[in-house]
Order: sequence, then structure tokens, then C-alpha cells
Amino acid sequence: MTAYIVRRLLQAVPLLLGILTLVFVFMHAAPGDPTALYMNPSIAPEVLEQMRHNWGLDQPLHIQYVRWMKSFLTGDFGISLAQNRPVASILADRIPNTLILSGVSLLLIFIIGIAIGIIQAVRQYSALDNALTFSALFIYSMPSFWLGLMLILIFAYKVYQVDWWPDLLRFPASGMTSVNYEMLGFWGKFGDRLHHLVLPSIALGISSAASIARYMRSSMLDVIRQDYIRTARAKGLPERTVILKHALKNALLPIVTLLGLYLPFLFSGAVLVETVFAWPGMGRTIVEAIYQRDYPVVMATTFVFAAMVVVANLIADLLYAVVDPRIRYE
Amino acid sequence: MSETGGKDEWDMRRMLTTGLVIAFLFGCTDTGPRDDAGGIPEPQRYGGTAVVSSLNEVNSMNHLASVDETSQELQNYVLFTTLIRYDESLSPVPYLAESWDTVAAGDGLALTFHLNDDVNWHDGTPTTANDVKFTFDRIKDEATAYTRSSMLASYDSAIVADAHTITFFLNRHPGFMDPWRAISPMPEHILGDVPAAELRQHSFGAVDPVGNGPFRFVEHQSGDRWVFEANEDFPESLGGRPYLDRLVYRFIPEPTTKFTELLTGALDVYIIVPPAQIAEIEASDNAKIVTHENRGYAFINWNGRRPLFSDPIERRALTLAINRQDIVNVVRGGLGTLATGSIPPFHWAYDAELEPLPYDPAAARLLLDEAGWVDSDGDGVRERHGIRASFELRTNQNPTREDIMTLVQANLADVGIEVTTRVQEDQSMGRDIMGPQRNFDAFVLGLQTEFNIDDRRLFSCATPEGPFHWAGYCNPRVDEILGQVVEMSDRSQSLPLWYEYQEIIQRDQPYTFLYYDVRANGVSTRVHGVEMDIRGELQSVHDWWIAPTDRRLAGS
Repeated sequence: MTAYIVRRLLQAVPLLLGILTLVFVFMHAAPGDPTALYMNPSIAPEVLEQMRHNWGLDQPLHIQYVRWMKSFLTGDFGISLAQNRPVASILADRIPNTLILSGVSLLLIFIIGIAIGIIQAVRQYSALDNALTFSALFIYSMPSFWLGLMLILIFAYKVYQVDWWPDLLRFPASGMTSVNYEMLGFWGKFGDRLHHLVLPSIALGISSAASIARYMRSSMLDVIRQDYIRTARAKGLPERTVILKHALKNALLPIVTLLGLYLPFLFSGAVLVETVFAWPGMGRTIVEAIYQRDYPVVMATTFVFAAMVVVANLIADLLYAVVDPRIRYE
Repeated sequence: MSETGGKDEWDMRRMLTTGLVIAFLFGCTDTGPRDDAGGIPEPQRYGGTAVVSSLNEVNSMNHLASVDETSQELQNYVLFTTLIRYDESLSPVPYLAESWDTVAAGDGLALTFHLNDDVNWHDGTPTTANDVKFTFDRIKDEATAYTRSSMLASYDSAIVADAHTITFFLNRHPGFMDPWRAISPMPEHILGDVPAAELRQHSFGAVDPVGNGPFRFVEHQSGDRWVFEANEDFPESLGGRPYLDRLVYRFIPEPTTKFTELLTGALDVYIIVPPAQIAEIEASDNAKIVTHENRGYAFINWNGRRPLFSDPIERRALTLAINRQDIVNVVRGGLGTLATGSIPPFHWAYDAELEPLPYDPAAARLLLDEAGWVDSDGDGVRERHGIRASFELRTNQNPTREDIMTLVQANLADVGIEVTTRVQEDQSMGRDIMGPQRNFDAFVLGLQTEFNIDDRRLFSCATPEGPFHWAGYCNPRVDEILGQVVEMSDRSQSLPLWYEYQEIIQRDQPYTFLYYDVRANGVSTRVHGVEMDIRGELQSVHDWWIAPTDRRLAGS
């Protein structure tokens, strides 16, 4: 198992280097550069020249590439050209924020998705099944940023105009914490953070939860038609035990594959959701950096994203072995 | 009925801006006696938190590193102090400098500032003339790459006479005081040893700035917020402690989210409200709209190197064919005044007598006919010598400008000119319009003017290859005027030249000037004393106050 993990990680090294090289070339081939932020008739072109010089952007491209690669391999991500501070400290600020948001969404997706999928499979073709199928497809078709805006308009705006609506269900529209966060006690802070997480994690996760429910439903239906389920029922086990103990583990197998696929998807969806909810995460950082041609930040964030995807896929593969004893990695 | 109120204010503003009574203009930006009617005595105004959000993320408090509009306002009005300020009529008044005097020195000028001696950096070190000298030296040092270094182009050197006296030697030029309204001196005892080329990335900017202004730095959560708190020790001579306990600047990218936060009380001042949200904010009990004149204008640049735009006659025909008032009404919700040129109404040299060109498609058709552009094949599009009157109009990703393009397209189709439109990513558009090939026909953009206007980078014949010489426009008389006015320190002497300049620009139409900006901002009704004007949205932040009963409680 360890040998397998090491081999997989080693295989990822050339892949990541290839990705970084491609991104480097594409970013520098795109028109403009970071000084364009300051392009303005009241600013002398010579100043921008000097800025390029200070940043080493006046060097030939291959020299810039070698220099960047060298400092990257020694663990130095460089300094952001737009934010004027070390890229490492930007990543340290932003990665946890994105992980909190996508982690909570992921949890939501799988818990809600799996639960609904099971209910639908057990009550196949009932009114409940049809209603859930309809709403799953309805939600699945909604883009996350639009859903985010709608959530804000309803649960962070309209409900403030309804007097009897409980305060707990009036959600904040943006940010990770309230303005007076520092003045709250420990539980106050915890509650405040949870309160801020509700709308963005729903906006980010709900459509994926809908699709997980679809997968879960069909996978569960496949499983409960198997002979061993009939055997379990025949020996008089309660239906609850049959479904949750015997059928569920086998039905989960295809869902685990999806875990690896959903992680990168969550990160890309996070770009829009982070913008709508003013969530200071990685997705927004990378998009802003691309528009500003903030090369060091683009390179570092790309690397982090790519590494996360590699790791997420590895985790999914390892989970196979946990769920299915027939699969073994040597 | 706040909507009618807004309209009245608007009309009054239009009337006033046509005169030169700028001082009066600020009187109608709200607050004043009506706000004080709540009967809150002055001592009870201290306290509370105000939350502000504007268009862009603020990345650095280091004045030498970042001078976008919002950063500069936070630097100059919140965290630091400038040597002087502008009063309502834009004349210099003392701030960090308690007085100044000028004497002739050779054929130039010696300008001496006497600084207040009771201003301290927030770490306790006194602010002295050495800090001013240090900042001046870094700005003059090319390696710093201070973006607005051309502000000090006529400044030669500085001498510190004693801890609170500094003398600058400069060439005479108009508005020589203007830089000291814009530049916040930085602390030498912290940044003095940092090499100029590395100042921009020093941790002072984003992690641990130390100011000397009415508010001190508390924390910066990147991508989210800056928190400042009242400086208890801010000297009385500069206004004393501000009313607010805390000021929070939040970055919220999505306008709908900002709108929601304003109306639910999480945001107090929403700077730059898009026209579509104005009516609902005005209708709300929680917030009101405060409009003010801004230093920007929107325009269409014609690439004069193209046959369709090479002659003033055709460019004038294009302007006559475009219904600019319609653009202001439809796209900007009435926020804007028809523009005649590159000098906005706030500026002392603005020619209020000059009538904007009317919307007159019939006259436009006539001019185009005379210029030889006729539709001979009956396809609805004019042509001349086999060249079709057809061009591509582009802009960057900005909803207002995209709407403008659509209206212009329809207007020009009426007079037989075919327009295709294109929305381009900022930097790739930058390459096309600034590059030496000038690979474009026409574009819609906006420009923000300085208090000292110098249009030579836009229109001078001397630098046709300069990046901002988009129009490819050259008029020797304009060159002469622009060269002279930047050297005349006597306004009454240069005023006739400025007027002539505006007339020529109006005649030649290197751009079609669309409108001068009027900005709308959303302000929570809890916050009093908010006065916004040409000097910026935060210029009165020191005097903002919130009544005790309206303040945020912990946990709300």
C-alpha cells in the first residue's frame, strides 16, 4: 500500500511540472502584464518600465522561467505583484478559507445526496420518489452563482422585511465573519462562522448533492435486486438492517469514484460562489490574479489546485480498497 | 418621496455646475442642520462602527506602493495625514503643515512648510520634516517606481531646516501645491533602510502599517477587510479624535451582495452604486442615495488614422448622430452631465458657456454627404471611394459601456454607418489600443482626471507613438496651448487659453465626449455627517457619527 502511494505521488511530479510549465507559457503569452493595473495617462510610461525592471519582467522569458522554477523548487513562491506581499502568506490566508467552504459543501453533498438517494431507491416510483427526482433535476440545472444570488435575495434580504421570521434564519449575505466578530465569545464566534457558512455552502453544494442523489438511487436499485439482499430479507432481518448494513456498503462503491471527481469541481465552482458571497478564498484569488497578470500568484495557485486534484484522486482510489475488499494495491 | 428629493437635488446640481459656484454645490450634498435635529449632543456622538465598501480590493496602505483611488482615500483621510487639504472651493488649507510660505529663489520658487509639532506616528515616534523629506526622496528616486511621480516633476530638491520645517525648491508652475494634498508622508524610522526597489513589497503595506492619522491600523484580512480604530491622541489642531470608534473597509465584489448588505444594515456606506439599484435604495427606510460630482468622463475614441475618422467633419457628424442625453438617461439613470471636452465642471478652467453639440441626425447626414460618404448601392450603409462606412466599436468588460455601445450602434445605423460591437478583456484591449499598430477603429472608455489637468499625453503632436495617443490627433495650436498653460501660474492669464482649447477640442472632436460622471453612493441612514464631493467619498470620514441607539451591538 505504501509503495503504491509513493509510486502514485512520484508519477504526479512530472505531471505537475508539465502543468506549471504550460501555465507559465500561456500566462506570459497572454497580452499585457501586471503593470497594466497602473496604465493611466497621468502615469509616465517610464515609471512602468522601472516597475517591470524591479520585478524582473524585462528579462528574456526563458531566464524568467528558470529563475521562477529555481525559487519554486526551493520552496519560495515569490512575491505577489498586485498584492505586494509574499505569495506563501496569501496561500496561508486563503487555502484554509476555501477548504472550510468546500469541506462543508462536500459533507453536505454526500450526506444529503446519499440519504435522498436511499430514500428514493427504497420507495421507488412512489409520489415521494417522483417529487424528489423532479426537484433534484430542477436544482441540478441551476448554475451555482445564480442560485447564490437567489439565496441572498431571499434569505439575506427579503426575510429581513418579514417581521415574524426568526433571526437565526436571517443569514448574512457576505464574508466569513461579522464586523463585530472580535467582540464575540467563543461560542458566539463559532455560531457566527456557521451562520456565514450556510448560504455559500448550500449554493456551492446543492446541485452536486442532487446529482449524487441520482447516482445513489440507481446504484442502490442495482444492489437491492441482488440475490444476497433477497437472502438477507429471507432470513428475517429487519428492512432497516438490510438496507443500511448489507446494501449500502456495496451501493457506495460508484459514489466513492465521484468523490475524486467532485473535489476539483468544487474548487472551480468556488470561484463564482466566492465572488458572490465575498468569501476570501482561493478561487477568487486565482481569477483576480489571472486578470491582473499577477504571475507568481497564478503559478502558485495553479500548483496548489493541481496538487489538490492529484491528492483527491489518490484518496478516492484508496477509498476503493476500503469499501471493496476485492480491490488491493500492491 | 426621497425619489423626488433626489431629482430636485439633481436639477439643482445641473444648474449649479453650469456656474462656477462650486462652494455652494457641496451644501446640497445632504446632512447639515436637518441631521442634527435628532438632538444628539456632540459628546454623545463618539462611538460605533461604520462599514464601507467600494469597487476594488485595497492591497496596501503603503503610499509609495499603491495609489488607486480607494487606497489613496484610505491613506489620506484615514490612516495618514497629508501636508495640506483642499477646502470646498479646492483651495489649500493647513493639515499636517500648519502654514507655508513661498519666496522667489533664482527663477524658481522656494516653498517652506511649517509642520504641526504634535503629530505622532501611532507607535509614538513624532512625525517630522525628515519623514516628509524621506517620502519626497523616495518619490524622486526612479527605482521606487512611484506611479504618480510626474506630480513632482517640477520639484527639484528639499532641505530640512529643523524638525518641523522643510523647504522645497521648484520651478514655477500652476497648481504646485496640489501634490501635497495627494501625498501622505511615510514613516522614515520604519521604511528608511528599505531599498527603494523593494519598498513596494515591504510588509509595512499589507501586514503592519503604522500611520499618523485620525484612525490607527488594527488588522487586515486579505481579500476581506481592513479594520481601523479611532486614534485617541490625534491632535486637536488637526481635528482631534474622530467620532467613530472603528472604521471597517470591506471588499465585496458582487454589487447585488453589497446592495443587500446595505439594506439589511451590515454595510453603512456603499461607494459607487450602479444605476439599476438606485431607485430601490431611495425607496428604503434604511439607506439613502448621496450623489456627487466626480472627476471622470466617458468618451468614444475615434482612431484618426482610419479614413472614416481622419477628418474633424466626420467626427463631428458622428457626435451629432449620437443621442448622448439618451445615453445619460438610459444607461446612467440620469447620473451625468453632457460633456463638451476633457475638462470636467469641477475644474476652474471649465468653460460653462460652451454649449455641448446637440443631437441632430439630420445635420449629421448632411455633413457626411458633404464629406463624400454616400450610400450609392442602396444597402443602407454609406461608402466613399469604395470604402464602406463600417467599423468596429469595442470596450472592456463593463456593463455600462456595453449598453452605451448598443445605443451608439442604433444611432449610427440611422445615419447610414454600420457598427459592429466587441467586448474585450482589459489587457488584450490594452494591447490593441496602446500598441504601435493601433489595431482598432473606435472604443468606449472612461478617464479620471487629476486636479491638475495635463492632456499632452492624449493629444500632443510631439508623441504620436505614446501609448495614450489613441486618437492620433494633432493640432499645432492645441500643442501650443497645452505647452503654455502648464507653465502659467496665474489662472486669469491661462483661462482664455483653456477656453480656446475647449473650443478647438469641441470643433475637432478627437473624441466624442459623452458625459461627465456623477456618482451615486448608498449611505445608511444611521450614519450622519457623510459629505461626499469631488475630493472623494471618504473626505468627511473624521466627522461621521452614529447615534448611541443606532450602534451595532455585539452579536448582531
